[in-house]
Amino acid sequence: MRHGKQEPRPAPELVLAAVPVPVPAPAPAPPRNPDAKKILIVDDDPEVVEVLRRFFEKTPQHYEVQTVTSGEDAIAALLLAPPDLVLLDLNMPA
Amino acid sequence: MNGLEVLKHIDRTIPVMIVSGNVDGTPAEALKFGAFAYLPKPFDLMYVEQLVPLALTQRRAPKVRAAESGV
Repeated sequence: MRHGKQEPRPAPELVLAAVPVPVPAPAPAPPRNPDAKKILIVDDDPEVVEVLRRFFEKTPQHYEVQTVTSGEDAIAALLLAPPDLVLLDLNMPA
Repeated sequence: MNGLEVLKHIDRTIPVMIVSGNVDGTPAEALKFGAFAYLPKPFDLMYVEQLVPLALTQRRAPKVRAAESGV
C-alpha cells in the first residue's frame, strides 16, 4: 500500500462573478400626461413668472410649465423642446 | 435680446401670447409678427384662464406654399 503524499489540490482560483450590484431605482417621476400642453413662460419679472406658474400648475394634468427669464434662454428652450404655447414679455432688457 | 426679437424666432405654428407692460407701438408690432393676443400688465388671471385654451386651439399648420396649393 502506498501512502503517497497527497498532492495538495491547488486552491480554486477565485473567480469573482460579475454580479450586478443592485442600483437603487431612481425616484419615480411624477406621472405625466403625455397630452399635457407644454407652456413656455418668458419673463424677466420673477413675480409674474411665479403667478403664471402657479396658475398653470393648478392643473398639472393639463399643463407642463417651463419658465425662462431672458430672451437667450427662451431661444434655447424653443430649440430644445418646442412648446405648445409661449407667454412672452416684450419688455426685457436687451 | 428683447421679447420682440424672441417673437421673430418663434416658429409661426406655435401660438404666442404677449404678456407685457406698456410699450409704445410694440403691441401692434407683436401682433403683426403673429402673436395671438396681447395681455397688458397688470393682468387678471381670469383673462389668462380664458385665453390660454383658445390660444392652444390656434396652433396653425405650417403655411402651405401658394405653388403647392395651386392658388
